[in-house]
Amino acid sequence: MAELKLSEGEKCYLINGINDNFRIDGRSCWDRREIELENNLLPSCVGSALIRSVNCSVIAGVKMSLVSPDSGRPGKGKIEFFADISANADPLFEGRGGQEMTVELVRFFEDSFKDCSLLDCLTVVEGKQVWCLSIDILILEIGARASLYDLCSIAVKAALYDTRLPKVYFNPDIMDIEISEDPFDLMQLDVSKVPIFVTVTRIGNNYTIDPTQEEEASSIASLLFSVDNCGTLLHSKKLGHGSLHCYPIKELIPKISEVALELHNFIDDQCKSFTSR
Amino acid sequence: MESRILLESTSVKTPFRIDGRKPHEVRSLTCRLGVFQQADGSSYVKLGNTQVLATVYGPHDTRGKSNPEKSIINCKFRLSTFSKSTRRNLHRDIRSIEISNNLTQVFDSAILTELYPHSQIDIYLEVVQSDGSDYAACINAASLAIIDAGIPIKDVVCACSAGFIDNQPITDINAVEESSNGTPILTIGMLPKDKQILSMESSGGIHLDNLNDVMDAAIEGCKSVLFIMKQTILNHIQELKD
Amino acid sequence: MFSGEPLTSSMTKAGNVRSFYLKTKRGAIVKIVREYYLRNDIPCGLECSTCPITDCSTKLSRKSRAQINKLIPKAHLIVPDVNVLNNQLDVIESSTFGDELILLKTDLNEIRSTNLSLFKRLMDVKGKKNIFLFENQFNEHTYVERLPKETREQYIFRLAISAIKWYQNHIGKKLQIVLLVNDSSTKAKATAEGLTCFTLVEYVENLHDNVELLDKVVRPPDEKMEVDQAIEKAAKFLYPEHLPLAIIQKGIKEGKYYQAKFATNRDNYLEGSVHITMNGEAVRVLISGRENMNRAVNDDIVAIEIAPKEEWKSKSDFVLTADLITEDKDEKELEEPSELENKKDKKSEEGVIKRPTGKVVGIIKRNWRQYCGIIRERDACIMKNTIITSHFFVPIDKRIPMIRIETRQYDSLKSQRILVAIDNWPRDSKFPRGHYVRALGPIGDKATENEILLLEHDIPHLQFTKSVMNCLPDPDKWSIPPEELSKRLDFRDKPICSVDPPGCTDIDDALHCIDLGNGTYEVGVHIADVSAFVKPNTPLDQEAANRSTTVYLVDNRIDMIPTVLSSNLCSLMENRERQTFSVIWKLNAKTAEVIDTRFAKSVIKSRAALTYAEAQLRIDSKDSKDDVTQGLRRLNALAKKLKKKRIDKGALVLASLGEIKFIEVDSETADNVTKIESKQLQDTNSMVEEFMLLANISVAEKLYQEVPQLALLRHHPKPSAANFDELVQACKSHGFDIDVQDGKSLAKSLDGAKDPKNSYLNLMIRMITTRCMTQAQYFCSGKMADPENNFLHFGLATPIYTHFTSPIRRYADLIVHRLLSHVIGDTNLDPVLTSSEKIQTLCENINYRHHQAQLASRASIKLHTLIYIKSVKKPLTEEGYILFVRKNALQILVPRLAFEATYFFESLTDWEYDGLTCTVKYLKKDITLRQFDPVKIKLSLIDKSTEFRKGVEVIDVQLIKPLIESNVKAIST
Repeated sequence: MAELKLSEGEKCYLINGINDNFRIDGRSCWDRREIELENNLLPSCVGSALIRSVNCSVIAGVKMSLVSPDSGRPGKGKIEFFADISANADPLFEGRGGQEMTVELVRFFEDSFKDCSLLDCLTVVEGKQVWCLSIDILILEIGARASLYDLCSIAVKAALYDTRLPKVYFNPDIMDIEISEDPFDLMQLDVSKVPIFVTVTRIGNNYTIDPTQEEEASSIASLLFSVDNCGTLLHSKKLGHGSLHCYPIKELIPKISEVALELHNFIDDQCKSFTSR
Repeated sequence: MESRILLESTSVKTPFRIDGRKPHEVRSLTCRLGVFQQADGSSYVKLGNTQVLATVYGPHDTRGKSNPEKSIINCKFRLSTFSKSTRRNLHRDIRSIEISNNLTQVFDSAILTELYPHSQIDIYLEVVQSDGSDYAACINAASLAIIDAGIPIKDVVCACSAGFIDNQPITDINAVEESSNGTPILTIGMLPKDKQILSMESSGGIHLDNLNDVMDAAIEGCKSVLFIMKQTILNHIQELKD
Repeated sequence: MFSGEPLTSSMTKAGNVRSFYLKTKRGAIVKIVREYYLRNDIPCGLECSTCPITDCSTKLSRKSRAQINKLIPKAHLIVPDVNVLNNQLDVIESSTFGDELILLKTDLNEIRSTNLSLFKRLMDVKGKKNIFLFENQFNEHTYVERLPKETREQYIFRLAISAIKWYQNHIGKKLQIVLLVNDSSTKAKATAEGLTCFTLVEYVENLHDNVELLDKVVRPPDEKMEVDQAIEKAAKFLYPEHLPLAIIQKGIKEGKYYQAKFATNRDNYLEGSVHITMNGEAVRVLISGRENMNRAVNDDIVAIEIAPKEEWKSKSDFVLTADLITEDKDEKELEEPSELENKKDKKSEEGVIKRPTGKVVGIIKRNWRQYCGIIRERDACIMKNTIITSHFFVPIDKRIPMIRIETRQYDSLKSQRILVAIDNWPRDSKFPRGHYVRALGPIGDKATENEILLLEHDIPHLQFTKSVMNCLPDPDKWSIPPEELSKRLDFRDKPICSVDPPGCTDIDDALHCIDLGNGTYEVGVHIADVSAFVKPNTPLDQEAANRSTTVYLVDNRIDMIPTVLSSNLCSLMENRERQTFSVIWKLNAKTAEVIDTRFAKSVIKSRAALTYAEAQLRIDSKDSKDDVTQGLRRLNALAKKLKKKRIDKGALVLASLGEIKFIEVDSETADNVTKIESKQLQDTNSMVEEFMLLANISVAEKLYQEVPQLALLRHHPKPSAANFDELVQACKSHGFDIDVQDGKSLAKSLDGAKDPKNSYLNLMIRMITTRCMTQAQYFCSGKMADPENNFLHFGLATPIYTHFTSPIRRYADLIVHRLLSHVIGDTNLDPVLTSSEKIQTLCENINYRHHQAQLASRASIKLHTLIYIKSVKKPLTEEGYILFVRKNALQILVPRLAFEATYFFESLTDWEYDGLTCTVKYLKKDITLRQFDPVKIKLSLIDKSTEFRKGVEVIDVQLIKPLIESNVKAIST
């Protein structure tokens, strides 16, 4: 549930545990809960993925369209993000509820993908036509907000991994594009540079990843980073109301890179096993 | 293009429909109960390529007015942005509002609402893939989710669509058949034990002479669907016991 | 996570998903996903212990095709591949090829998506033969997924191979499954897969009975090359290449090319035209010469490019007939009349108005059909020395070029009319290549010529099929069902009678009139209730919808519905109880004003079935005082008032020549003795007509009022003033002013155009007026904007009109009956009629069939005139009138024969044409002929069997008064 109220005693118990690197569900601070991933769930999308981790589930679906590129970026494709929290997650999100949260999420995705090398492989005719991918993120179950962002990024990367675009050829005779007749003549995207998100949450004096809702309720604030597959931090944002001391954040960076690389590898392994099946 | 082909199929009399089914056959149906943790009840229904996720919250306090006699049923139906081959916008979809209202009426009469005065029951339906007969799939999904939530209901509400193409009634219409010009579609949602019809929604104009046949086709479809739904429920209970 | 094994009740297999990408018309690319189910209960079509019982009626036999082929003497079943179906349907269709065949659904689907008309033909063939359709695409054993890098053709071929392998395995060794392919490379592939496979050519060559079939085989281009190589060694391309479709489409989008239906000039086969919309204006573009026409055949959908303005020409006013074409024997090809073309060019210099010209750049869709015609005769001496199989076919339709065909049956076919199909038209061949389909019968034989007439006009004329006949009740046992009797209004005691032409057996209307007192009459029009027998969506209904109209030929009637209905159960015969659909009015006896209108299903018992003459006699004879006669008198009086009102409103009286009738006399002694008798027009004709018009208008109003989106109506648009140019000019030269402002003024000025010396003048002017008009058409009210203007029936001067009164012979009336029946709450509406699109589609077919039926009727009259002249055995001298003056010919109307003869000027230099005054001057004798002038002509048959048109008899026209000498010698038969 989105709102969870904890008593001071409960909070204290939780924070003390984390100080000893021992969380209420038995994990240590930098452990993640199990993630389930499923590809190609939505046949009508060019790529899709469903991701679940305990009480959080997210579907990402990719649609394609042909558009003309921005004048300043003739050789780059476009990616649009849309996010939506289904009322399935909570009656609170019925109608347009949860919009402020999704706006924040979409903004972060847009910023992180702005200069992604993925955009380069979406060119059809340079300066004339490029692919525009529309990625819809549908949040079906919402756990802790801090872990939701991470899962969304995994869902998006897995969906892009799953994406197959039809090969399109430019026919100079008609000055227009043509689509290959062979249904297997498809293009796979190079998703290696697609970033994923890592959120670190300050609970007491320590930083953790993948907090539960209870932990989030007793946290001070969170930091959200997007990281590519080399461990480079691309973009960051602070979440929550509390304030954070600047010094420990600098120390965190290598750890975040490490966590991110683990996640990248995890997605690669999972997706490969799906494709090979 | 597809619809044209379908219409022309009148000239070739074959016993099979465009997807290889016989006229009375229902698409393959997969049902799951309890797919979400947070909700009070949830289900997943995959009817051919149509996929629906349903959750039930409640009975809980009402957010607005309450009814001292019974529980208020609130159904919300939604087609996801990616549910069809072209991306759709969510705003101002009158058809969705209509289906939501229909669903509300169906479950208002099926759930024993008088047991929960002053409360509200929310039923949310998310169609993640739409390939025809969305409404019927939603009734089935909602019915399973309510059962998963343990809310008392008169019977397992089951639904199936039927149409009339090439002078014969066909059960469980898929999207291609739906889009073929002028195909009449009738969706029946019913309480199977009492043979009570809770919902009967038609579009496309069914000729009165054929209505009986089409209704029979839909009711037969309901029976096939019910068989699978019941088995799913039994399996689920068995799993819970283990 | 959500997924898992589905629980299924009825299906044995879970659904599979196939997806592909498509570019839509708008240019967007979408992913299409289709679910499909594979099954194990697909029948194999044979008596079989393992397969489920087939639902289809087709059963294959295990002894099929034994001992008919040298290649494979034992029993076998053949499966043609998709290329064979695409190219060799004529072989498959023919009866000597054998009856049993297996078709694969995947092949059929491929044909349906690529060539719809071929698909329809294939379905027809399937109906006639014992063809089993194997649903291999849904069979789990035979369906295969497409592989990466595989082309569509390869995939379809692999599907076929998989299906045949399964079949062979399934039915055992006793019966062989043979794949028939079109070329040897495919055969090699199939043989490598271990299948028994022959090319169709091989198979046909080894059939025991193959003479006819061999002619029908379309040889694949590469093999054909070998045969023709000697002749066409120095092949040079005669025609420019056609542009690929993609470029055409782009060009059309950009406005560089135009898409249009190609129409060859009926009189000059080297010239054609297309109608396009250029800059918002309808323009007719002229395309002349072989190169510009670039292999376009009449009716093809083509893409054209407009020539620069300086190359525009005027339309040649010449009538080019085939006999002007000479043959160049050395080249074995035909040469066009170069001399004539040159002359034409010179003339066109003077042309005042230049027409846009253009050229064909590509073919969007071929609309080739099968053509009737004859084989061009070869020089006997050539025939003696070598066996030549390559021949030219000369189509009857002058708009179609000659077709090169291969046949070994030249000797037997040369005296026959034959049917030929075009296969292709390569760039290096002056004429298209085709193949022989079947022989129709001897040249000149009446039955043959009649069939040709029907074939050429695309008139469905085959006997009604069994499934259609099964829809009919037994006429001997049938009587009106009691429940119908109770539902319908009972008019059996009313003095109802019918008035029709003599010999009419399909009586669809009857009338009555009763004096109600206080100055009002009750008038009832009772129309045969065909819809009581023809129920929607039955095979009978579908056949009737396809035929759309009964076609009246001189000696034959092609019924829309079987005779049991048209001449018996539906026909309102004397003293029989019949079901009808009635319109009943209350009319003011003095003014003929309609006070009240009712519509009802009813039963009647006609008191008398009269002819026009009989009815007239009854009205005139003072003694008769019976109910029927009294009614007739009242009706006659009312009709006159109605007619006057109509004429006052501006209805046109448009004449065609009085109908004539050919009566065969003493057909036992001589075959073709024919007499001509003209039909008499009576007052009573117009009496019946008036009430039919009134009924039609009443029904149209009612329908439009009740179902404004679905009414099937008939309109006759007001022609534009420009259409009347020819008429106005013709009349001006005779001192008459024709005012074409509106119907009323036109009708008035037509009445004024009379010449006491020339009784046929007015008739001729009216005939020309008719030709200036557009055709009346059926349409659906929901599909036509602006009802105020567009619903108008100009000729009848009524704002709304439909056809209700002849359901026996017109399908439109039947639809109107169904609609009206729904409107008055009698029956539920057929679902098809609930959509205006579907009604419009019906209308288009009905319009087409009506037009074709008219053309066929005219052609039939022409044919019979020819037979008549032949039967007289001596040249006929006839009075005639000049209907039109052309640059190189006169069109002469012969009233007695209701025939229009064309008199060609023998030498153009002898004649001087003046278009302004519509005159032509014969310079040698200083005779001036003016339009509408009376002439005397001699009609005789001449044998136009020039070099290549054997046995073709043509009516020759000679002017006798004024006398113009001729060099052509007529032969008397």
